[in-house]
Amino acid sequence: MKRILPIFICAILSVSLTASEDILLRLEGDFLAYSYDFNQIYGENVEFSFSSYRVSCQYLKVDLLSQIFYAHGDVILKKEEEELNGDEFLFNPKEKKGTLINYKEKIELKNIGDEKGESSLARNDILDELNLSEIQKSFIYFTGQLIEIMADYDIYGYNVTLFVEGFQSLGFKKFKLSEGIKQRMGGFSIDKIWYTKSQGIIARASYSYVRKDKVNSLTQLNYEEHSVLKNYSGAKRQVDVMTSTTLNVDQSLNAGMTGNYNSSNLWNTRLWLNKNWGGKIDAMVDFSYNKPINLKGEAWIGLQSNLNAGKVGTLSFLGRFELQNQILTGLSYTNTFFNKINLLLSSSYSQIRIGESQDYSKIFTGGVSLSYNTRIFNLSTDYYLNYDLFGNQLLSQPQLRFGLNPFSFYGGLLTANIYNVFIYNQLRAEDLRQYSYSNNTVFNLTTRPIYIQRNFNLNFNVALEQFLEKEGRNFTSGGFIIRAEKRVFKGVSLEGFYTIQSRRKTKGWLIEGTTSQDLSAVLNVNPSEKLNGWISFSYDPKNNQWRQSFADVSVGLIKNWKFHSLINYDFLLKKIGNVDLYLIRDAGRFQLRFIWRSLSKQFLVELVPR
Amino acid sequence: MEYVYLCKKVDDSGTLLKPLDIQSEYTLEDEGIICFVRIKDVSQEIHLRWKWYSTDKQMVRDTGKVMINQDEKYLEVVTAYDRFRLNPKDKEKIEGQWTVVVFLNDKLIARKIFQINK
Repeated sequence: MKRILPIFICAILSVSLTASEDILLRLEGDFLAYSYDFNQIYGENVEFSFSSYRVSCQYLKVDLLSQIFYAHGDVILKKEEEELNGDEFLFNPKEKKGTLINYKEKIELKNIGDEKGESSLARNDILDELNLSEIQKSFIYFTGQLIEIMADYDIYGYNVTLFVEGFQSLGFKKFKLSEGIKQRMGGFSIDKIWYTKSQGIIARASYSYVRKDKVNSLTQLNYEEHSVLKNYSGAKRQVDVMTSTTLNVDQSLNAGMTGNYNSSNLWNTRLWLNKNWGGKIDAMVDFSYNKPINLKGEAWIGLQSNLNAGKVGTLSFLGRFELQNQILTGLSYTNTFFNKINLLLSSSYSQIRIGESQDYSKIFTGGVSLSYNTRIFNLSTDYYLNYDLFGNQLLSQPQLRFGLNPFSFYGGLLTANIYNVFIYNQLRAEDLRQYSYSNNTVFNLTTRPIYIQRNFNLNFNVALEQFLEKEGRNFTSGGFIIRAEKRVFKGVSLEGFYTIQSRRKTKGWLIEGTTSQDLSAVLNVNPSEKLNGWISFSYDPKNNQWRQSFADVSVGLIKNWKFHSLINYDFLLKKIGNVDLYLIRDAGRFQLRFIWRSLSKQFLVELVPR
Repeated sequence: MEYVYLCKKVDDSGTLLKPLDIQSEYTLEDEGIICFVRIKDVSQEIHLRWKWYSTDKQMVRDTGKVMINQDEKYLEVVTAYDRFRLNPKDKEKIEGQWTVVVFLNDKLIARKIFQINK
């Protein structure tokens, strides 16, 4: 508990509680309806304030996703000694600008709030489709006479009636519907209280503080009570606290802190300061302390820096020192020459204590990577070195890669691809000298769909691979796939696949290998929007046996409900492998799913934002 | 108001009219453009009015007030439309973005924008 305190104090030091929310627009009307699914508002005989005017209109339509606000039918804008009339009013309350439109002998446009700005009359399909009947098709909507739209587009309804799937539900004095998964602007919240048979009681809470562009802080608490479970062998309870705070001093300087505490006696914290000079140089200093379970803690101080010198290249440096004499350093340089040659040089040195002993593992690594890319081919070579100074072992690994970029011939009908990788390994220790090498060559040839008839096409794919290594084991692999597709009639198509793969290993006089074949067929059925599905079968011609079958069916029901199922049948075991059943409601911004899974015997309810 | 559509034809074979070939782009070869309105739950006398505006935002057609349900019966659904015929002689003026607005009892209930191409 002592360690939780510092983390909590850091997180909530000198912060205030919940941030206030500004009202963007307050709507009062004879009838107002808000759809949570589509994030839209429809109103009749509505009044609101805009700029310095009091506005009234017969109809109001608001689409919050695209931020379109549209009033029409006897629109009146009143202020002190001025009254403006119009047939339509398109406005943006955030920018405090709008256009008043009159349809007389000609279309008259008048700017409100930005008199010198340009006006235009654009088609808007969203507004055309927005009406009360569409709102009433929503899974969740409410009706009332007063709605407030906040600056962050949260919606508050007052004295509202909630409707769920068209059925009148409860009435609320004040009801808020926000955008689903969205970070709160600040304050404390209890996120979850749950019970599962495997974990017991789970509670999650969080506290966040945000000051726009300056401070962002989040602290999360997870609590699990396992004592309510029978036969639970672990700790009776577990607490986990995580905190993260970022402070932006200005555009080039920021600082932060993270902390984590777990009641199993591990905790860690990190403080950092980052400075940037003109986007070309940046440097970060950090201090971290890490206390693992049952081990001594470690305190590290680090410096990391990048220098971007444009055409000269980019240089990066990393250095970390630990109070028990542990060291991590790294240096790298990267650049591109003539737009085709890429160079990377890197080296690192690490000195890490071995367990609780006083010995240190000292390892030096270095590497060079050079690559050359052209339109036709690409060539790259790497050299990697790893020197274990403690064990006096040196491993070097040069590699050479060559590949031809995919090229097409016969008018694009065929496309071929070849590449080769050669790797050499050399290991040197005190009395030991070892080396090995391997080479892998891959060839791939594919065709575009070849139309035999208007509704019938074929395509092929051939792949060959040869792997050689010093120990004398050689692998040769090859594969061939042919795919056929035929459209039977509208909405129904049949696909067939035949694949054959062979892999041979030779070592000295011994040859061993495997060959496999598969024949699959897929029937796709999509006659209408309400019904679609597919069913597949796979057959092994070599062993003359059926393997698996899968089926996927989706049927549209009433409103936006649909039924979906996934079924798998295993011919070898002669049983249904798995059945997943879904009942799904598409509700604009989210999906509600009721799921049954036969394998895990689970029934789930999911609310998935979209 | 249930909906307002722009279409090429109207199906008058049933009890109620239905819009056919709903679209927002037309050519000079089309006979005309129909602005189709469907209104629900009409229990008193109402009047509809269509106004058509050309590419230069000038009004080219005004139907005036069209009276509906003068007997003030209860009508579950009312359908009505206005057809605007294109004059191929005015090719230069015709191509571009047009506007049609519909008024119900002098209050604008719908605005539709459509495109006429060559």
